[in-house]
Amino acid sequence: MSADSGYGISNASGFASISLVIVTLLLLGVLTLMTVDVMQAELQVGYSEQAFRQAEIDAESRMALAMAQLARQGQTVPESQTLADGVLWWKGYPAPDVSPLVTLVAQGRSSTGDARARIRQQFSWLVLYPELPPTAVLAPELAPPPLASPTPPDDSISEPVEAEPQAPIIPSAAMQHYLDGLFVAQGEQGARIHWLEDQASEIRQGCEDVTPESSGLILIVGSCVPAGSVGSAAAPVILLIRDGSFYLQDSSVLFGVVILYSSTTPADSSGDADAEGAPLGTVHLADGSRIEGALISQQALAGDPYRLDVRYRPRILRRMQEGTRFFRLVRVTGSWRDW
Amino acid sequence: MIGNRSRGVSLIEVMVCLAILMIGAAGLTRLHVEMLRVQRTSTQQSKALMLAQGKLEELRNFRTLHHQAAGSSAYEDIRQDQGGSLLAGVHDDGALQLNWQVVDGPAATEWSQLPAYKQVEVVVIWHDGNQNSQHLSLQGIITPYAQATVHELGFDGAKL
Repeated sequence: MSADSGYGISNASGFASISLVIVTLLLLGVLTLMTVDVMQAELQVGYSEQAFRQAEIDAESRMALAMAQLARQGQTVPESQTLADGVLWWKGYPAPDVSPLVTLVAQGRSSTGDARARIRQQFSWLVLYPELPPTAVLAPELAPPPLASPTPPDDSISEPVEAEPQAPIIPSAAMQHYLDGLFVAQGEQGARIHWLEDQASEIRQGCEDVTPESSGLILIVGSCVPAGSVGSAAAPVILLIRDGSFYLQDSSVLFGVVILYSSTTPADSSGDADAEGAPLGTVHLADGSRIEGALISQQALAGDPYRLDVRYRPRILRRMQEGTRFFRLVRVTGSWRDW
Repeated sequence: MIGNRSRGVSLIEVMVCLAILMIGAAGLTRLHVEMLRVQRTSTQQSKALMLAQGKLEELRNFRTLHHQAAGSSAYEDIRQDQGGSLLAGVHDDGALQLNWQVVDGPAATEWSQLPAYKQVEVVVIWHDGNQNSQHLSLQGIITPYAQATVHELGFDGAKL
């Protein structure tokens, strides 16, 4: 009886132990499977994130190449177009008398092809020089001329002759306001002249290579003594002359706007002289030479500025709001979407 | 006598059970170690990805087109291991090595000296738990186009 009951207890404990082991093994198995699952999920999340970033960057790259194409074509791009790599754009006009707005959509893929991203960005063209000079010569401490001289006919423009207005006489306060807008820092953005010089398509030390074929926004570091005429009536220039003077030789003509300014405060550069020994910021137009457009100086001009032959040409100045070289392709802030 | 045999069988059963349990536990422990290794690899990869992407974004968000004396980030300054404030070299306490290569595209237009785009490859190298070298590479294209607000563009109030 005791032996029977002894076997019974042993069998019972044996089954209990085996049951316990099986249950524990099952638990271990479940835990293992769950752990493997978590590992796989974690790895998958990492790979997916990397693949998505790759796809997004691929889309950005495709968009960048499309932007380069937009920049080359200027505002005359077709109303809508689909490029070979799947990028598409369409053009709109959100407001009258402003540059068109181009919406560009690009789709990218990861290197393995299992992730895709689609982004959208809007672009437009920003005019470099929206506020044209209101008169022929702008400089501090410049009193209005005693008598406005009539502007001679514009022989340089081979178009139907149109009466050129005289250079407007503007009050000193308006002149100073215009100069402040150009040279005095406006909030965090700094002075507009610094933005303008950053947009220059050419930066040169001197004006030896500036010719009648030159056009657009050109930054000259130091004095500018061109060998001949600069720009043309059809394609004028905006010549930024930083820390230098401007000398125009016999019978030469500059078409556009000349802006002279200093990278330091006028007080710091007041003792400096150019190669000719004249103070920096000197403007000298030789006999028969002239500026067809406008002249702007940050510092007061020496001598009588009204003896300088600067002819106010609204039609030439307006071309600085039409030509491709006077616009810059820009991204519209806040228009980037990835959904 | 039978009682002693019974106790002996129970001991063997328990020993066998323990052995099986230990084998299972050892397997699970190894799996956990492997999981930690994978997790560390994944974390390093994420850090590398963030570093590379951060660098690419920083290069993309240049402030000016041309080099400025003040030292602000400029499109023109984006060159091999140059440009931006995040420097090339070791990061994350020496765990990650950051470098980038730049290839300039053609001139933007016939009248502009700036390249139309810059092809940038950002590479991050690190060593995993087994001291094997791992690397991650992101390639992007950066263009010389700044941002402008709707106000600057004259689109105020317009539906874009």
